[in-house]
Amino acid sequence: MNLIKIPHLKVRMTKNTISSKTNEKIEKTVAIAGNPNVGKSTVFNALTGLRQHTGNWPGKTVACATGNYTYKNTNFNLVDIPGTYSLLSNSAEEEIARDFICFGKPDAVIVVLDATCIERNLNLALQILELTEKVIVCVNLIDEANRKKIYIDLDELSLQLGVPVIATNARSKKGLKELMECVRKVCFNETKLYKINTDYGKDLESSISKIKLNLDKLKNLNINHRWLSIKLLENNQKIISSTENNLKNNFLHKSDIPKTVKKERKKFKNKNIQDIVVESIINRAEKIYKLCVKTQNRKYNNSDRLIDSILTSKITGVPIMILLLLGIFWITITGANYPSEIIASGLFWLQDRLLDFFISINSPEWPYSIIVLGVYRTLAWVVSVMLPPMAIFFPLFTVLEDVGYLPRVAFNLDNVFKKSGAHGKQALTMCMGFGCNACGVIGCRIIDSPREQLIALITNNFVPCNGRFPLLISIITMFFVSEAFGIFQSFFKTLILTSIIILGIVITFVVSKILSKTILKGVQSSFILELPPYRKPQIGKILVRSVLDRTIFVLGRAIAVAAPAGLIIWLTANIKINDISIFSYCSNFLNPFAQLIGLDGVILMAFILGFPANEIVFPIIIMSYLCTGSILELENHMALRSLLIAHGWTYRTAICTMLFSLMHFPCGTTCWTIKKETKSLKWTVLAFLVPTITGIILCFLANSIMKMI
Amino acid sequence: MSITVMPLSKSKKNQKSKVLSIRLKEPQRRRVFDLGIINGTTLTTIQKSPYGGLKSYEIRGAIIAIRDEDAGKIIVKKIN
Repeated sequence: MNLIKIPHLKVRMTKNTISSKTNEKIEKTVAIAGNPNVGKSTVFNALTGLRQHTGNWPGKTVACATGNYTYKNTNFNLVDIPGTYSLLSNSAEEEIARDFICFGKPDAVIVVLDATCIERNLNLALQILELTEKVIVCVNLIDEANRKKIYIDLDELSLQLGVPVIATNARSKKGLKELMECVRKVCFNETKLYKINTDYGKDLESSISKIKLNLDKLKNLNINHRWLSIKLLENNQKIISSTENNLKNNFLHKSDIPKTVKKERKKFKNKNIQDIVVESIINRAEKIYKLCVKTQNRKYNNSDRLIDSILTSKITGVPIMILLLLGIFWITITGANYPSEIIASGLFWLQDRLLDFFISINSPEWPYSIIVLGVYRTLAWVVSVMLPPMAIFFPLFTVLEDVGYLPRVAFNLDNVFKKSGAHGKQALTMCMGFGCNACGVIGCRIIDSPREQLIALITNNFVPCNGRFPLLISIITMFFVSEAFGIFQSFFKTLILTSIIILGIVITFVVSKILSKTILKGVQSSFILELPPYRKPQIGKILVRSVLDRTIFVLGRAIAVAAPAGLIIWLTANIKINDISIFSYCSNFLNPFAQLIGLDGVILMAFILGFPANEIVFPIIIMSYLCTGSILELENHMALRSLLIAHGWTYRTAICTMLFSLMHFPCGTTCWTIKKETKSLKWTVLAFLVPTITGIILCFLANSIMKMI
Repeated sequence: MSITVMPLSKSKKNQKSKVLSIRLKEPQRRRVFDLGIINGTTLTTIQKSPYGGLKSYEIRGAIIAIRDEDAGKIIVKKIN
């Protein structure tokens, strides 16, 4: 659900829910933190039962999700804070995480560790322990670790950290009861916690204690003083100002603390204080790891490396990627055919019954014409055309996500992206775009650098979304793959569709390059990406999640726009001035320009009317050719083909229409999402214009060249 | 005598190295720290990306891909 989750659930909101305490139940707030990819969201879901989407790639939780559960008459509000490697850097995610732990005043913090990667994970746990001692360490994926013959001495770990440690396997709900009990105890101060501070060495410790002494004198400084002393010594301006803002306490200006800090900082002239802090923490993590974890089989990652050597090698890596893409589209195309037909005939059967009903009550013509032939028919078309491909495509795609394949795509293609001035993670946002461009746009948040994030955002529309597949597939079926192909028909369809998509990807690279050389000039940022272990996909959960979370969401939105759009289309086609409909007026006006780019006025008009949702573009074209004034479903592709040819369609028109479908303005929802993400009209307009202009230029070129031949 | 001190980006597949110094600037420097790479950390080079430009490394039990420009500023010593 994360991909399409409505974000901006800020810290303050959570505070409000806490303050609205009821008399019957006690409310407690628990934050859940951890590195990306440790199954943090799985723990969150298992505890709350809320279906929040988890993916096997870093940086998925981009804003805090909240959920709650009741245990022993206490209501626990769980806040899933973004997965981060550390709290020391200043990326957006880390700031959210840090601010919530510091100022959201959680009653406890669950730190989720990946049992197969304890050493690196401990780094974050130790940093959080600097902030608060009300920590429960949850060693997740314990089964996977045991399978890999990694054994963890939980008692020793608990002793070393001074806080309770619980082993869980959230997927199978193992250890959750114990975790809940432990969280309750920590929240109600029923467990003895004896936090052990990280030792930063004699010099730094003496400076810390001097500043801490000063801070201890201040009132209302509701934050860990030792931690704040370290941050003051590091001169971490961002943290200091965020502390002052959140605590509404300008302690720095009131006391002689700045003087002390300055004096103490001078003692470390040649050393970077933050380096000392980081090194001490990492070294302590390493020490704890050596004490608590035993690995019997040093080569436990060999099978992963073997898979990697196939999926990311020079010879097999890219072909496999293309084959997987082909495979997914092939299954989607072939699989969607039958259910599409069944749903369509069902919905159109219902339409006839609706008409019968209106006629039987002697209704005048216009109301049922608007409702049934305008609104209902558009809806029926959208549902029957969109639902089956989505219900097949999303789960398949989620499997790739769950297994951990997508970060490998980014790894394979990073250099190509780098050469186009873009970021390797753009591969991931493009993948999301296949499902829905609006989701792809939201996904761009995983790219840290603002410049590269904008490139990814503006070019996301070059990846055709689910709403555009039906048009592409229909045209391919009618004009390029005839029945004569027999059993190979769907194979050829897939091949052509994949080529179109690869064209879209190539254009993405070219446009990214142009953008990075012109308006989005700048330095390339670094690319550091974790390649998580391959994990068995949770098939059952994938089905439920992708159908409920994604399919229903996207479909719901499509329906929400298709219904009013159906009304407008009906009106433009049926309101007549001098016996010519408004639709015809407009399309006649657009015709000369449309002819230049290989389309006709009707097609262009359909793209414009299809702004709310791309999936209604093709129905509008057919509707206007038939002049019936409402969207029609033609059962047979051959009948449809003759209709199009009768209206002047040639291979040229077919190719240009497909090209324009691939490259034109993003749909309404996507534009709105871009506006929300960039908070800037300028970039939204640009994201609108770039694909449109690219499409017009390429269609013009294609049309002119084909005319000459 | 073979060269044993080199930028991490020049390391070969399956090579084990120990970090001698990190010459990255902020914020990359901090990112690298976050992943547990500090002076003295041992890491193993896993493999190259098919189109080059970056490699993956095993660092403290995790596999991390780093672009060669960044890895070039991490100086390592080859160890056995």
